[in-house]
Amino acid sequence: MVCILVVCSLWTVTVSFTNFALIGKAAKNPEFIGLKNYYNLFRTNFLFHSIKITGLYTLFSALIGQSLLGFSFAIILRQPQIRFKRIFEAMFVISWVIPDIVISFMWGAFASKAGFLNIILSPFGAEPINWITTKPLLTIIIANIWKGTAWSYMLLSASLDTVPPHLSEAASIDGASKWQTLTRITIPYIYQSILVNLLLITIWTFGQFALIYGITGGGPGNATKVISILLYKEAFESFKFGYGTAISIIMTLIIGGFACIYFYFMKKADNHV
Amino acid sequence: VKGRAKKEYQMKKCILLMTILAIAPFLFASGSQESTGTPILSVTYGEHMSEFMDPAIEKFKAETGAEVETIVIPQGVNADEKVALDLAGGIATDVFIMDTYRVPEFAEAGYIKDLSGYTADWSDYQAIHGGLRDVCNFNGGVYAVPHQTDVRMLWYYRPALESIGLPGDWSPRNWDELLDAAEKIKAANPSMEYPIYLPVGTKMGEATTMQGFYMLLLGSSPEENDGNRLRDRGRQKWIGKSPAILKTLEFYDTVFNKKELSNTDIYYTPDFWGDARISMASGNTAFMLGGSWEYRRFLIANGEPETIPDTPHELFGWTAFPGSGVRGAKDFTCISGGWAFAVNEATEKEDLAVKMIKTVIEPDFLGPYLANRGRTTTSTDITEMDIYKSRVYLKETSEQLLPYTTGRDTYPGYSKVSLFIQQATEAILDGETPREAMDLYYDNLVAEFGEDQVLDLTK
Repeated sequence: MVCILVVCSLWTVTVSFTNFALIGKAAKNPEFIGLKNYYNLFRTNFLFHSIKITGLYTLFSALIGQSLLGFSFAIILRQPQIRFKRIFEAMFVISWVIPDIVISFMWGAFASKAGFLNIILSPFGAEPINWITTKPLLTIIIANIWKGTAWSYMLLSASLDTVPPHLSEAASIDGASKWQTLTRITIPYIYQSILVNLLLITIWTFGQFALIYGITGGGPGNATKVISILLYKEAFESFKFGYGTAISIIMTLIIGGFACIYFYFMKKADNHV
Repeated sequence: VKGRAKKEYQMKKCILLMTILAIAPFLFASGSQESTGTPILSVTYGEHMSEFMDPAIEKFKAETGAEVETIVIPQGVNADEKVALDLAGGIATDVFIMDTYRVPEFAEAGYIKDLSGYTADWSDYQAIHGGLRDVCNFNGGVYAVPHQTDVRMLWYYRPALESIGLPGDWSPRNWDELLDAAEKIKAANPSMEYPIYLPVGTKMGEATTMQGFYMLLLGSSPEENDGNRLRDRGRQKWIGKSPAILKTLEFYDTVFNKKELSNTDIYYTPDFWGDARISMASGNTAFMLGGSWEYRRFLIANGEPETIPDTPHELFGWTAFPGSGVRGAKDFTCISGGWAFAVNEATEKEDLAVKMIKTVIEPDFLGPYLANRGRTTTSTDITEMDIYKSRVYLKETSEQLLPYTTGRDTYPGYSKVSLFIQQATEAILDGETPREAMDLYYDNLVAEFGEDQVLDLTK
């Protein structure tokens, strides 16, 4: 496994310094072009734009949307007065197990002008709009929140099960409010799980492709062209493989950077414990 | 407990052995015919081509004794991309279809065989129009055999024209007339989302370049010195900036931004072609820049029989796409592409592969397919067939558009130029000005080919 990883990584890095293409002269005789692929990437605005879009998408759909909602549901559904907990859980899990490409078709219909989203909003006086055209980034963010909240819910719900009940009972006896119990006991107790959840959903969301490509194709214009779509278009639609691998290297470095940050906080939390 | 474990172990071994014995015949089946001396030729083609490929393959098998393995590309899959990726991955079949504009780049990559040695006494090949044969030649070699071509035009939805008092067979004389009509239709039909359907962006790929951008570019300005093209064929350089490119991008800006004559979602949906045709069939589109193959697609989308009628359809009509109206520019424009059969350079059955192409392009197989589907032939022999001549639509498009059509600048590197064009149109959707979009296109060309290979005709 490690050998395959090393060989593939070396190959990818090497190709990123060539003009290797899938068609044309460069397919037969690729040439070493040094940093030209990287220079071309930073010369235009495409990469920076894609990084910005991917960052916003990851921040709002995964870090804020999925994790906050997942955590909130995990807390709420633990309350004894909540009934039909299993039904709610089943609904979450169904959205999570449906393949991305199927969800993209569903959301394509759901968010269209004649779609169900407008029907839901019409009693509130909202004019029907085509969400994919007018709010493309918001549409894919909501779609991803809907799709991925189940993961955060399941992971954090399992972590909450590990919090010893006597801690919150003792806090309650000492006069702590529910909010204080949550922020000073529960969250610190499952802090590691929260970080693991954030790490995983960041990695998954940053590299997400099928869901976005299926709903918007990266458009309209470049409005939802996340890095994975930029990479796909360069490598497999314009067949510039060398250029595509340069994008993949940058993408890997960014995700690696995020992973390092999370690991730093995890280690710090470990030491603290 | 030990005895039971041993029994379970033996049972597992027995099941494993039985499974291997059961699947062994299937594992070795694929190689059995080849190993017994029967050659197997593999062929890739589109699902819609089965109509003529199936009987042609049967004839090929009867004549050669060879077996044929077919890879049928389903409707909706980008055949052009699939073939290119198959070739790059080394898994392409012996014979395959390809978009003719890829010929130079496939030939340069060493993916397709030079068939020059076979063409001299091949009568069906000699019957192909010279200009269309040339599209598949590269550096003096014959790399593919074109079997169908197309023309591009302006489609319209007759009731939309009638809603603003225009006759159902109206033809705009220039871009302004077209835009005016679209604006009036939009005002008269506020719920219509795409008064003008103009292919745009990178998701539509080559369609953006050809059905949209190039159709506009050719009529945007006078054609002297290739000023209305993407390449100056005399100086052998790509044109990065020109009044024609700017005017074309301004048209995009007018349609999508200034006059808002088309929503943009339809160009990015998962099934953007299906949606485009449904939009036309349901009257949500008034004008559409498209190709000759669309007629049949509109009929299907409208739930009608697929056969193209010989009398004007009550909903769908077409006319030649007008030029901009600038003095000296073309009155109307048309550009053609097409599909061809090619032979994999890696094949070890070259003679059989050529025999296969010879069989499938025989007029008896290909002619009825093209006639029934309203597709334009590349062959003078098929043009003379009764079934082809009897089709009014094919006759009209062939007479009115084919003589004036042109091809793309299919020089090595064209795929990248095409992508940069698509990105420039996308920049317009992002709100950039036509001049900024043209600068982006120019910069991309310079980065790809070098400044000495790119012309700026605005200086």
